[in-house]
Amino acid sequence: MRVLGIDASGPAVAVGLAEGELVLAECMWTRPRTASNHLVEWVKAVVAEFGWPEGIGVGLGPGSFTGTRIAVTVAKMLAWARGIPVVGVSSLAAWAAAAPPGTVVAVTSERRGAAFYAGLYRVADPEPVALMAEAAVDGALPDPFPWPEPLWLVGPLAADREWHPRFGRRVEPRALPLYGSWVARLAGRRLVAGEAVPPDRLMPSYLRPPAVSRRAARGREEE
Amino acid sequence: MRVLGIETSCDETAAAVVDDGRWVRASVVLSSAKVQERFGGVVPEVAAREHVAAILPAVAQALAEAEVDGETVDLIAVTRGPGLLGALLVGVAAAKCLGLAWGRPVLGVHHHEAHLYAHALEGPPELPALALLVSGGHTALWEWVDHGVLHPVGATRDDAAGEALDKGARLLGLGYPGGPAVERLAATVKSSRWTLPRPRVAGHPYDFSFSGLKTATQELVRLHPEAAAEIAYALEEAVVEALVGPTVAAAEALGHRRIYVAGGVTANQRLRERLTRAAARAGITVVFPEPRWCTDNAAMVAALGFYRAREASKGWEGLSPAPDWRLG
Repeated sequence: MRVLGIDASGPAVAVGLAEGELVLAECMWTRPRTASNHLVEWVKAVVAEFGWPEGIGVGLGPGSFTGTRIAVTVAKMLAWARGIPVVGVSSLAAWAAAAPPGTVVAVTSERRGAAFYAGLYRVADPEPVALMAEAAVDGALPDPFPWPEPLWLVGPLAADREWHPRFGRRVEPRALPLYGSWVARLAGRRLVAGEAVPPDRLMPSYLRPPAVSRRAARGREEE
Repeated sequence: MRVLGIETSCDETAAAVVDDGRWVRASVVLSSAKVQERFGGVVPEVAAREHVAAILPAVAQALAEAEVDGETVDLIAVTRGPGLLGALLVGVAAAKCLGLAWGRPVLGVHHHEAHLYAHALEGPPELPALALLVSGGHTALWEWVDHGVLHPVGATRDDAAGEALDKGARLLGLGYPGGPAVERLAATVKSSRWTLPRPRVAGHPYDFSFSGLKTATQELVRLHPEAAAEIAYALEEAVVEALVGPTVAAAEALGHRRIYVAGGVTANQRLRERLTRAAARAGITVVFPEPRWCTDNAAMVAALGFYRAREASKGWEGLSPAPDWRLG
């Protein structure tokens, strides 16, 4: 099954096309804020070259609220308008999936100070196994950190040595990119297994509520 | 020509199918106002989350009600701005995907200009004319010379007229949106003891200012908490009078015999009566859209798309929102 994968959850804006293990197309910029301009252009370029895909996969996040919304909107509208099966996957799992089988990978995304998203995976065939539920971190890392075994650390926290001991004693920071083709490959397995979702049910995995309660309360006081 | 309109600039997710800029085959508006009510106003992140959930149901419902297939759409018109960035992004992304999926061009249009095209749904506008836009987010006067040619005449220096009503409603403990709530409460009394200020902008006779009204209303509420209806009456009166004077004066000064009024505040009955009467005294006709086209909708977006269809060019795949887009 030829599957289009898209992601704009934070590390990049990415569009890929994969058929099973075979990667047919890959577009990736580490400029996630340009998703609005480029996502549809890239999909158009892929479709012009390879024709319409048989399935669509999208990274649901967690990550940038805006980025995941654009990617999810693109996926659901294309899927609906062309009648193509669609499914969402974890952006963090798709990111981890590019590591070699057997590797344990901690993925971090969308850092703002001590706040970020984190996932922990053991890379395996056919897809990474989650070792904890994806988390919205605010300062303290959840269990099972610190991880006792060798650990690849990916995403913005990989570049911050001060944080490494909190992730584990044997942390190896890695500059692993998030590719659209990995979103496509994870989605392809789900679609083949009959796990397509109705396009209108596709929603970003926000993990955090909108930051409104405090702001709305403050707004009222100011008024 | 069949146009699919998409509107997501604020808290309404809207889609409409309009033929030849006039015949509305379907118009769907899914509002997040009920959700926003809890926060006393529009919270951008909440609006954006609602849009991503509602955009596909809105488009699908519009096509189903119009009993047309997406492939029969000739053009997709989408609000590109001004508005909330996170909200606009959803509509623009959706429009581009439909354009790609159906092989049709996409045109980004201006939200305020689209409001004027609520009039086109009742027949081609007779131009040139004066145009008054009064909504929760904007208050402005233009010379509407021709399709695509709008010359600014005046605008608010601070709050929009609808914003003044929203803020007043909040001070009076009424719900959101404030305009209809203030109007309902004001209608329960025949007059008010008080006259709230109608501020003018020195040297700019066609500009508006509404921010002083909030302070004045606040003071009245503090001194006379029991007289909410009378205060609502005085507030509505002040907003209406502040709009009527400069509008009629501008039409007379610029020699326009016709004023097209648009935007959510147009639903206010007192504004309709007072402006019509004042203009009639000067021999000027005021045209209001049907109330259902006054608030944000996608039929007006589709109508504008029809009149500007020739501007839909290649390269629309890179279309992006313009949250601060200024008209004219």
